[in-house]
Amino acid sequence: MTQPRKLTRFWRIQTSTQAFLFLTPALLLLGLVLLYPLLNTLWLSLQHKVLIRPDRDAFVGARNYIKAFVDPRIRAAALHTVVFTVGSVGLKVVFGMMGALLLNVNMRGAGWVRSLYMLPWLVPSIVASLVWRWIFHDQFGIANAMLQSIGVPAVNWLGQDATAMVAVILVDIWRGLPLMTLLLLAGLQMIPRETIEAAMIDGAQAIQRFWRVILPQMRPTLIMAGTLSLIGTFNSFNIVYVLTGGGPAHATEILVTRVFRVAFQNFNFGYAGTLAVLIIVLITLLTSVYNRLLNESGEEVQA
Amino acid sequence: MNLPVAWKRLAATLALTGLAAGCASTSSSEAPSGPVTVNVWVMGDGVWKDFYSRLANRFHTENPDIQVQIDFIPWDQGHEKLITAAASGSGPDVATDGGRWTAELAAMGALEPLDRYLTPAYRNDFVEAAWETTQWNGHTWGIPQGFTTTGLFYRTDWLRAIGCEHPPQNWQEFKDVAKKMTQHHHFGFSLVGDNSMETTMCWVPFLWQNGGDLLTPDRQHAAFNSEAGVQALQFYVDLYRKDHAVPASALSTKRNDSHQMFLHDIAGMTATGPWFFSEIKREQPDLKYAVAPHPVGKQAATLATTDHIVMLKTAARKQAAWKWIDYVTNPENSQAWSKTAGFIPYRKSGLHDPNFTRDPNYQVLISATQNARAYPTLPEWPQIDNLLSDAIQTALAGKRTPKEALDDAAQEVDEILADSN
Repeated sequence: MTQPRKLTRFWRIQTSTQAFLFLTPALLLLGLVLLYPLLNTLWLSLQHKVLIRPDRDAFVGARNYIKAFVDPRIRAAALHTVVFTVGSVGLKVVFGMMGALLLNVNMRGAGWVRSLYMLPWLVPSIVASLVWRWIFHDQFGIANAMLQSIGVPAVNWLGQDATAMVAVILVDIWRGLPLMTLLLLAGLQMIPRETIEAAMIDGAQAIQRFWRVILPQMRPTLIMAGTLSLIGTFNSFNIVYVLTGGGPAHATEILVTRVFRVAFQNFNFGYAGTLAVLIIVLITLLTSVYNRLLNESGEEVQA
Repeated sequence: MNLPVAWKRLAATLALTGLAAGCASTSSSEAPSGPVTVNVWVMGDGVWKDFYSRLANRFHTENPDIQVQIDFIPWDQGHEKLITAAASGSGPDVATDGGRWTAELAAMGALEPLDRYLTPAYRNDFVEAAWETTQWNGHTWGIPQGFTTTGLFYRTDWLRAIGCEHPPQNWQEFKDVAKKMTQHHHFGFSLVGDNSMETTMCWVPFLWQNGGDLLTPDRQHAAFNSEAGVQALQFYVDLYRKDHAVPASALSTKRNDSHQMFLHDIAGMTATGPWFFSEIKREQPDLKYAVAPHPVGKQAATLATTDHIVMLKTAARKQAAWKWIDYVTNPENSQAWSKTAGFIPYRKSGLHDPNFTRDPNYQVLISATQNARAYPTLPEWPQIDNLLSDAIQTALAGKRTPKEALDDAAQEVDEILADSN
């Protein structure tokens, strides 16, 4: 009797060792591309390191962090990042939900519509942003041509603070909406039809069905899609960089474009490392706030 | 015992002896080693690619013992790539750089000073405004490899339409012409004001024309926020905010946009350089235009920009690398390059080349060399450049007065300069 038990224990150890062996390549890869850069950035953030002045490299402890907290440019960039991210993700969730509800209808050619709907997401963001830069061009852009054709005066889209911010948010929504819609559509299709049918039999109107039946069941999807979108938008470098370069006069400068400037125009890698660490902290905070909000609203609905 | 270094040295020695043997008698084919490879980065594509690929082929037929391996890198990535590669010691042997970066690279200790390769006759043949940009800390860090000045391109038909006999010669006339040209979706001047170094390039001539300067002579402090600098920026801002003689989109106008506006009946004047000629010929061959010197303020001034070719300190085969540099910059190839790229001659021996001088518009830009000034060469320049373009944008946007904007920038520049001493 003891023999087989010993055998199982042996196999148990064996399987866990095996599992670990199988995981090793993945762990090594993760360590190489995630853990090492992260630790290296942390280490960098505690140093004075300007590439063009290697003679001044030194360990400075928290000095870069103190500088970041009093740097008015960083404060402005953080504010713009929040406006940009909250505006873009909020509208993406709202319009994504609308789009998902529309696309969820079973009709002829729905597959085609869904595929076409995905197009903006398939265009490389640099290409898309370059095209949008021309669309918003003050003199040659089609946006102003269309406005003027219906009698609205031309808008200096990328040359003024507010409209430049609107423009980058619009383009970010244009690009991010398909993925958001796709994820929400998948979520919608996972909702058991019985719950909706039951609500219909109970006499719930379409709007009531949406708020009381569909939305509560969409919570896990919203958490997942929203978090992904939040992180993606927060780091939406290409669109802002190509469209406005952070201008005019820093009006659309977000944290990631600021980091780019610090790192690759001033070659201040130490300070850029500090800012990168702060971005990680800020993203974590934003996502946890978003998730908590959703969880709380979920509890309310259930109550 | 450091084997790799020893091997490298041995290889370099072998290569050099091979090179020397090759030079001494080309008939002796029993050179001990194979061809030496020189790794070169050329910034730019299009004309750059065509020209340098052909040049490398010809060089190789003349020097079979040296193989030039060229990587082409787009200009807008060049700065970042070169600095990061130099910092990690993985750069090429020879690179073109945008002039402004040379001092930066030299201060990093990444460049090989070129003084020992030069004869006085060699250096004296270069146009002074181009040559002085290669000097920093008492050494020569690069050889000019492209040189431009700018001038005022203007529409001759528009000028006639507003009843002017001649292009604006001073600031007052410039402002008057710009205002008069501005009517029915036409604008007088296409001002470049986006947040890039192009904005600084376009404004700096105004600063100098008004008697201002970028830095103090000892290069320890900013000088652009002087009375003259503030006036020059005020003049610029007024064109945009008060006279509306500049398209509203100035804050997102890149130099290329300003070209388009000039080509497509939106702006009557633009300040740019000789590379614009070929674009006009290609896109609007019938455009009625001419080039005039920049309007004179208290004095005449234009910005000269110079590209450099530099040798990196890590170059293993310095003699071979120099041979390539010398080939690229020799009078014949310099002149061919100026012509191909639409630059102006930067070798004195090429200044009277009828290929350039018979075109009166080109002649204006060549003559502008007399009043041409270069950016100060110092490692911190790219950062100062950024701060200045920020200040110009902030003032154009009306967020700060010209004085406030320049004072803010000057304070930051002073901190950067103090930091680096």
